[in-house]
Amino acid sequence: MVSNPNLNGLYEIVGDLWETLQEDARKIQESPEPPKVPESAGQKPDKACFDALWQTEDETIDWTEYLTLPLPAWDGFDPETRQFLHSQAHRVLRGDLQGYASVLQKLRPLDDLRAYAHKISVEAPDPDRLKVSFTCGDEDAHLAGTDRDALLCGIALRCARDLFSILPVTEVHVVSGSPDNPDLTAVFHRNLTRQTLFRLTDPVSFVTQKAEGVLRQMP
Amino acid sequence: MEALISKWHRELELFSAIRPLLILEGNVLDQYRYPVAGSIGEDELVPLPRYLHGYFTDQGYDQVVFYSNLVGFMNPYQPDMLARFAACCGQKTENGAIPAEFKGNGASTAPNLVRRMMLQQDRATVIIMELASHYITTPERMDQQDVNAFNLLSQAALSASIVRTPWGRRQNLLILLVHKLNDLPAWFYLNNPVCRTITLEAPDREERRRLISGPAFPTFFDSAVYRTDMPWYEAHPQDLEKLRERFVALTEGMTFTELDALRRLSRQMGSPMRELNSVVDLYKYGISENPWENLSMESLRHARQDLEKRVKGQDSALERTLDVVRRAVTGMNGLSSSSTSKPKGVLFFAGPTGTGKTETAKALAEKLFGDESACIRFDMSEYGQSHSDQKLMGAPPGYVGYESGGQLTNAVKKNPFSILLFDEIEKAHPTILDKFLQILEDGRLTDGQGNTVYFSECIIIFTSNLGMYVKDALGQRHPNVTMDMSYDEVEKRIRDAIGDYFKLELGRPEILNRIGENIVVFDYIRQASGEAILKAQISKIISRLWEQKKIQLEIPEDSYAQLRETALSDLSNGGRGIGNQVEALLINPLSRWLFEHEILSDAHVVLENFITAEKPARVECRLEEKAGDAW
Repeated sequence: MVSNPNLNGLYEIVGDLWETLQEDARKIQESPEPPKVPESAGQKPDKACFDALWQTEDETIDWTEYLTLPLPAWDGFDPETRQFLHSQAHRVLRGDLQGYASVLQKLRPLDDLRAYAHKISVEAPDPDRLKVSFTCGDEDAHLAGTDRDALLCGIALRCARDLFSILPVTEVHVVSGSPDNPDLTAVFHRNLTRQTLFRLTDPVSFVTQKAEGVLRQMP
Repeated sequence: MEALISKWHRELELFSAIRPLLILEGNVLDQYRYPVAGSIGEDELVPLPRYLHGYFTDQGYDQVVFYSNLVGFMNPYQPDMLARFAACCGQKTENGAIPAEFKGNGASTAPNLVRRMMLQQDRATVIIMELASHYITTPERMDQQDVNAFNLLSQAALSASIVRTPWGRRQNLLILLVHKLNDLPAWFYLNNPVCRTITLEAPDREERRRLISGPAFPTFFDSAVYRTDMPWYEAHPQDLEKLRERFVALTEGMTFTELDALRRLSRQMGSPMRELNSVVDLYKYGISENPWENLSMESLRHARQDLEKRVKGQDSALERTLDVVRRAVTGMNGLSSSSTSKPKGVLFFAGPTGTGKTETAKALAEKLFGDESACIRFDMSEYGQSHSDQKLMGAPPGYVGYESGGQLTNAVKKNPFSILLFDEIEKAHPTILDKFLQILEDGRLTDGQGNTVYFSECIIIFTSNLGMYVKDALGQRHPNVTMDMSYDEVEKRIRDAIGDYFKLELGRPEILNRIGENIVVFDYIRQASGEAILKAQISKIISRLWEQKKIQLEIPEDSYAQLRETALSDLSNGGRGIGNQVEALLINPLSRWLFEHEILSDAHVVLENFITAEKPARVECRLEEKAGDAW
């Protein structure tokens, strides 16, 4: 028992210092649910889902942290994935393209885009660059409840951000549509995405103003 | 890589086996590098409580618990240890802690439980009392319950048991973490045979080197930066070594927490590896562009001519001053010393009054940093009292003015790239000289609020009139140098007198040593330079009159000769004396004449005669018809 009633309220004040107390706090104040992204192309996403799509990105992998043990304790990965990342860190930081491929296969960073785009593929022509291509039909724009231009730019941006998050490349080249007649091509540089507040950024403006080699076909 | 074990860790190893009461004081809120692999990874940076938990768990202690007067007893790292502890002392856990107040009369107060657990012989126990600086208001104002609480802790340590464990005998331990030892009552630790104080310092050079050379090195960089830049450094190991060496030098005095923040900042910014040390600048000064690196060699090549436009007749002094700047720019200033965090340069300007000492400092600031206001002047005659150091560095907590900080530390925090001019240094109180000693040696100072201010990008200039006069056996002042002496003679005499002042009069030769060979003696203003100063001042007046009033002032040669004769008749007051003469002989009489003749603008005035024999002096002028705008 706490003999001094003033101490009762102090658990809440210091709760963030101690994990055991933090759990109690968590029960009381659950974080709001993020919008649920549909898992397959068959499901219909809404506008909020689409905004959440390009405003966010996958968990960043600080590869230099995975070079040596102990592994960082604060990342969002399960133990098996963390061990995998540790096993690949040397290869990835040497720019080994096989290492890149294993990471892409294991983490499948672009799978959450399947509700909006099809035929997503990633190529690594060299250790600095990744090339990602996808297609978007007119029905996808309708599904997302937004205009086609925003859809393409949003997906392109999210692709680039996801790939920068998981691999130490400096450039992501995005192509939407057929290679001969693309709807959108854009080259994103790593430094561009580093300090941008995407929550307050319009994807179309970002792509047209910040990306390089932009080629768009207006609907 | 061989394990690097810090001094305090060795002391902990040694004294935890023989002293049951350990007080860890100093940098207790910092993180520490765990030196050997165990329950914590080798070289991992962890907060001190986690470090201690890992260390004592590895040593085979059954229970390691923490106490905070806000929560009670707890163990956030291994909650089952707390459950064992609770069972052992007959208490219950509540929300992951055993609530216990620090003072009181009950049997469940923290000191009582500590005593009970230190006495028991069943489980080897370590009790770590965190934030122990804050259990009482101050040691001077303790009530009886405070005294009783510390008394119980003292008894607990005195009667601590030794417990047999499968790994050998372990002594029950009580550890207090405090910021400063005197946060605790002195009787608690003084002459206490079972107590040992261990001081935790900021990481030394070796620790910092380990951080930047060991497994943590790659984590200073963004993954893409490391991947692209590291192959080049692997091919050029000597450049990597230089990068690391520089980092170690620049981070002197930083805590592990600061180094960790620096690491995260570097990674977040994605700066190339070669710019690692710019990130240190960014962290220290808030800007990444170092004006020293932007100085062009071309502009420095003409620095002498630029300074001569403002300071006349001081060839030797200007050359010596520019030598220091050149050393700073070429990075040669730290070559003779182990520390590169010292100020960029230190100069001691001495010599007669009005010879351009302050002007040189201002001109230098303009040359180096593009703005004369980068020369921050402190008149040391304002710092003559023993408590004046608080004005410069900030008052300690609890004193008036604590919130506003110190004048010097605030100025350098605001503008780390500057020239600090301490005028008439001999008038400052000797306690301030101690602070200067620290600035000159370490290049940093901690203000009253605990913020560290770095002087490593500053040039520090002291000015003084020392050596101008000497005292005889009767204490009477006599001129030590006179105008009829040559510059070499003046320089020698002034240097000797400065040496005598610091060595014999002040008894502080170490200050003189820090200044080294950087004493720059300014020469008297002699006839030729006096005339150059006079001419410069008169042309300034003429051009200002024209610019502001459109009054064209003409001084014919024979009138000018009259002015020159009187203005330069006594040069003992230097350039300032000439300025005073110009004011008395030209500015005041001319303004009187213009006023009397109601000429406020648009006129052509020819100054025909200086009547200097009268008091006050007056001028005779005539009005000419204005020729036009082009003058």
